[in-house]
Amino acid sequence: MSAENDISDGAVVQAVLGGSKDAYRILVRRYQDALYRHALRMVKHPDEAADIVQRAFVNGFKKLERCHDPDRVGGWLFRIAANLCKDFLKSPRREDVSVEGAEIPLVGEGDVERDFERSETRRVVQAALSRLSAEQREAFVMKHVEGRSYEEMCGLLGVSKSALKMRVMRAREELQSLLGVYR
Amino acid sequence: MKKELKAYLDGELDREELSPDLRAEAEAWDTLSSEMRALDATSAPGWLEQAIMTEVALSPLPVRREGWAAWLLRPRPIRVSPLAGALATAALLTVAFFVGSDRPDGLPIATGPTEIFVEFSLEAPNATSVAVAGDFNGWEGGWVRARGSRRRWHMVGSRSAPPRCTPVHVHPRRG
Repeated sequence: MSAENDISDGAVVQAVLGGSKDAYRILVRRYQDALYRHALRMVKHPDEAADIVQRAFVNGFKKLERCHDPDRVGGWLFRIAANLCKDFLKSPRREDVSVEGAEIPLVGEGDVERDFERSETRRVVQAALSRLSAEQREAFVMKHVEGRSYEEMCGLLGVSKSALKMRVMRAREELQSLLGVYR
Repeated sequence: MKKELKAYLDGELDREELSPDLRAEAEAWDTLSSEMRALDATSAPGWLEQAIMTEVALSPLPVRREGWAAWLLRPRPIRVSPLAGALATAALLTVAFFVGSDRPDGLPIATGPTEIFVEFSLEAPNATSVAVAGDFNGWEGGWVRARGSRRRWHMVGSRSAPPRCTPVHVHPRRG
């Protein structure tokens, strides 16, 4: 496993393009959790998030020769997944997915009361997040939940820093009006 | 939302730099973010890796383009300074200007619907007025008065074919 971790992304991409399909598994293991978390925050439904990640990896495999910077293939896969999330949020299919039944598992240990409280807070916050536009939600999640810098977001999304700042600001204002407690 | 708070949330200010009334609000935002960050512990479902790899196994291998074809087909960013860009544009425009011209003086010939400008010029120091008629104004269209000084009379007209004839009517100055 440690040997697998020592291989650079660029070397893995070269191996895949050289005919080793199985080498792609290294990239899947390396990035599936990050992509899944982002997708889950965006679409809120675990099955849909998994479906998006699966499609992102498969599309990425089919178009791997178009990845111009193999050493940053993780960011490239992230962009594919992020675009799929936005497509999903804009599609009519989204209406068919019940948010009510889409409880995201809590990672808590022991304190049931505290876990319930956190769960309730998260439910309220997620309901508010779902009211944001796809672009605003993406920017807010990347900035405040994933803790990325604007520079990193620019690189991943291909959007200018000023546009991203505007999206984050509008998302905050929208959340502020939805979650009165933060006023 | 106040500017200070925005700057804090964008990572441009520390919480200590905020006014006391904004610190509580900043803390509320931080709580919100950390609650959502707790989801970071969520991992992709165990079956996902195998599902992806099964689909990958059924997909054709991505084709790697090699050699000149790859070099030509691969899009790439080019970095050009504004000065170099302006010089290149000027050079291209200059080349286009001269290549598009087959006149020795280098003036371009207009393309598209042909319109020929007819210039009439007459030296008549004793005239009080000069008028011109020709096929460019339909002959029956009447005389067109030329403009000019007492010595040189001048008129410019246009038509879609070369003029066949341009009679001139000159009114000499009396006395």
